[in-house]
Amino acid sequence: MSLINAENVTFEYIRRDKDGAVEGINRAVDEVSITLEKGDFIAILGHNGSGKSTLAKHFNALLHPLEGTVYVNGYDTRDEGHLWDIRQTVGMVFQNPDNQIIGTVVEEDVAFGPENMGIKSREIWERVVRSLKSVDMYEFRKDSPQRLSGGQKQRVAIAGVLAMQPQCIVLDEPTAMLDPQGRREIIDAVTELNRKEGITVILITHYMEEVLNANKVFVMDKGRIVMQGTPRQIFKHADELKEIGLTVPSAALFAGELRKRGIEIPDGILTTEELVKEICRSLRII
Amino acid sequence: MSIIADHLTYTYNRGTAYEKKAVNDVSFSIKDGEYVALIGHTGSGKSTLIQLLNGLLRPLSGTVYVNGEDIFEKDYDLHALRGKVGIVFQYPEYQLFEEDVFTDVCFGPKNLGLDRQETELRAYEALKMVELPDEAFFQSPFDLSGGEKRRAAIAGVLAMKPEVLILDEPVAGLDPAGREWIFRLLSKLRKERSTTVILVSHSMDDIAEHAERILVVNDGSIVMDGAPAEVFSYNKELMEMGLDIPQVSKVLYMLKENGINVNTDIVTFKQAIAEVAGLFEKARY
Repeated sequence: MSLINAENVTFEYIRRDKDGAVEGINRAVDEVSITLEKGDFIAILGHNGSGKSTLAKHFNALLHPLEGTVYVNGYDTRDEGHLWDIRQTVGMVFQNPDNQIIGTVVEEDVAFGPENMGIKSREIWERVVRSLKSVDMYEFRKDSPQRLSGGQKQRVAIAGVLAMQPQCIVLDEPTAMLDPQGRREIIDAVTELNRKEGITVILITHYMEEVLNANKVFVMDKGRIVMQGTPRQIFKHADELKEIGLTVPSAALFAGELRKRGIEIPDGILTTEELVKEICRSLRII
Repeated sequence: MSIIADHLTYTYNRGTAYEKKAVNDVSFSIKDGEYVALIGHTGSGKSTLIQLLNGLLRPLSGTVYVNGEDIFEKDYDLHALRGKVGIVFQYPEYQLFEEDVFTDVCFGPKNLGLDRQETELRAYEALKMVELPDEAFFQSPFDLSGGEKRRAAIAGVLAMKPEVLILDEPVAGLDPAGREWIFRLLSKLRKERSTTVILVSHSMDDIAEHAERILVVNDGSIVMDGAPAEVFSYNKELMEMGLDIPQVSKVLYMLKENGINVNTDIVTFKQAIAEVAGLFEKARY
């Protein structure tokens, strides 16, 4: 059984005027089908308003499809009786860490989720310790979240989700507000959770460099999935991506420019390391 | 319009257990028409600093001179200053509040005491400048898309015709096309209105491409001040401060480490491409 299975999902936002009459309808997700297996690390790219976040909110029943069905661990997300199973299976982390942290002490904040699930106190503390350790924030457990950096706060937010022991975490632009160091910390932490602990990751981002660790990338435009594949397959389509408001990682852009000038650099370069290696190799054979 | 920060110090929660010095004896001057980037890790004091520059916060000590005038003097017109030094805050779209976009954009100029005709003219110009379609003018701001909301919010500041525009992370949360659009707008403002731009950003790539000068803030102090090529040559120091260098600089540094003789002072994409292409030219002959 797949962890998440979305079949022909359609969702519309309805705009109403002051009197409640329908003014317009915006189809945010348009017949999307997507299957996620346990242990996947998938990334969703798309311009602002392409439907990424709306789709992601279907994965833990924050939104229900207008048409089509979403199954999480086999449960239909419309099935109220399994709402808590679903929410516990798929946790969400949002853009702004300040909006997600409620505790005045880091460890209390992380304990909030399992406490609400009615878990016994000893187990709660075991989970808190484990969650904080897996995002490398254990040494800050007694601190006030206010005193942490953006990246550290966001890692606490991730630990808060981990403490509910989800099988999958959806991160909706988790690095949008962070400085370079914070961004590195989050991407490293998420990659580690996926590789070491087998947690399924769904990463939504506008930074092309951040999706390189994903095993599959979905590109959305106007509510539809218009491309899917490995990062290397996706980023070969620089022109198509540009047309829909996206781009390719800087190293790929660099390689493309060099190729345009008749310099022999192979297709499919994604990282600075690969780019430098190929430039050196190409220089040697001249 | 020139701005001088003269030994600015600001402390949050003074006299309590949570006392925190956010800005610590900061001095610098920004010339008329300059394009300056302010970088620093989260919590380094950047946002506090920009709020001091247009008098939203009052410094504990030190002062700010705008066009030679001390803005914290008793008789100084701070109200008028806020029209001249405009701030686009982080996620400015959260501050949209009027029933329609046009009225929202009128709010700033109206508050400056301009008459109705001038107010509406400025709002119209500002909305044109941010390229919002005419049919959006009388929609509720909440019905716009995320990118359009950001444009409407920026128009609200532009309608005051600021001579200095300070932007705090204006591209956070925008897709690549949206980010590029913001930088095109800033170039246009500089060209058409000679606006002085102070940009707070976490994107070293964007800064390298656009800014003329970088101020690096760390723990409330300015620790570096120079042209992008100069500042980004302090690779190790920037990394230690939680910052980074542009991607193209990384490429050039790594080539150098591999024994290739390249100019590592280059920070823009175009120049880096030319430099690397030049290596191949040389190797061929």
